Amino acid sequence: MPADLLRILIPQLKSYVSTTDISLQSHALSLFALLLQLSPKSTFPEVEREVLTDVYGISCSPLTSGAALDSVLAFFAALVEADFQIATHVVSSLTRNAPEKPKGDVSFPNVAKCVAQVVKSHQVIAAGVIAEFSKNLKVFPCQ
Amino acid sequence: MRLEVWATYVTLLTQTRLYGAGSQSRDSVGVKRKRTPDGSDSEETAYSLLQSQVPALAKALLNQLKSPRTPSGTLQAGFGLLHTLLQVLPGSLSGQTGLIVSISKTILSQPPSTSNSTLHISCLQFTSSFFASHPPPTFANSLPVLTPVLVKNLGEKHPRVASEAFKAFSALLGTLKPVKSQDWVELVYQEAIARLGNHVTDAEVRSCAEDIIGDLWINASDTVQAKDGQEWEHVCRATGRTEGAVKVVTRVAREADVTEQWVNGCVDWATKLLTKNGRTGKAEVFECLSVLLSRCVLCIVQL
Repeated sequence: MPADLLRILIPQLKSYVSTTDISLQSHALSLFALLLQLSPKSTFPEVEREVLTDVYGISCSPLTSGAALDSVLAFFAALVEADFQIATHVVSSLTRNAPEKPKGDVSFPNVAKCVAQVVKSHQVIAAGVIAEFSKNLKVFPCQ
Repeated sequence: MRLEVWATYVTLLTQTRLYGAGSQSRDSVGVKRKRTPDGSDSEETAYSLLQSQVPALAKALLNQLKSPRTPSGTLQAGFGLLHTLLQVLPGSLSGQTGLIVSISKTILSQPPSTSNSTLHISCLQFTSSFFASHPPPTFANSLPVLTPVLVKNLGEKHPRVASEAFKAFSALLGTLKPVKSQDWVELVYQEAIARLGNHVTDAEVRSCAEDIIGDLWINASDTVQAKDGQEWEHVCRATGRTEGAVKVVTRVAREADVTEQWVNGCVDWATKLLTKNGRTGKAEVFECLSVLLSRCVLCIVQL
């Protein structure tokens, strides 16, 4: 992929990664996913630096559902496949951000689906993530 | 009187189109068909009835139209009827090609005026569906007669006439695919360029000219690939309505043989469209970009 093309395209797409227009945001994320698949080496650093933070915000928003959520999941899948090393980092960022927000501003099912997608795309981290998450599960004795 | 009979026939054809297939499908669900002793299916559907009528009907109709003194209103009704017939039974007029071509030629050779432009349009619309629904061998011999008058209509001032002429060539290109070494391709290309390059071109004509550029790239690639690509400078413009252009670029990127340079140019253009205000057509631009980007990589892999 020609570098100057990416240099112009990425900032343009980035401006659509917000909750103002969910449908266009979904299109933009799908395009990022496509770019990450087509030319991972040149796209990944840009996406990590420019877009990833915004996508964390979108992924835990209750406004994101249906096709928009599918695009978010496709984005994470492509991101992790472009560079496996980011997988653990994504999981911790996703889970760290969510609980700090006021209730109603965050959709925990969305976060869970995103984490699941990351693990699915890079299964080496599965054992670690399961161990980490299962700490929070409590067993209530039957009465 | 005659016109009323034709109008009734058009209504009947429209009904057949809607419900004609219904009786066929009802047949297949259980009702036991009567069979003639030799085992063939005796039950007649609306379609098969109509099919058997077409040769006689078309012959009678065309004989009434062929006189040069036929009033314009009658001709127009006649072409309306033929057009509807093709919508119901595509390809059913192959036996009448000779007569159809000579009548169309007579009509289309007259310069369109305010009084007969509607007839021109009906005739061109019929020609489009005739091209689209018949196999090329049916009309291949008539093309040398028909294409010069069609090319002349491309240059008409009347926007609807010019648009319909472009559409007729779109249909022709689609049927003949791939089109090789036909002299009219060059003429159509030149006229499309002239229309696209002129900023006063009517919006409808412009959109048809954009479509024809796409059709040329997809169906007559040998001719257009040898050119300098000037048409894309006109199609991919920065101002004005770009919805049609986005569609054409998407279609060409998906179906035609394109160069890396073309893809890069179009990605650049589509990216600029994203910066424009308003959300109309944005989803299509995204779709276009995603096709272009996939294509981009293919081009590089091929090198």
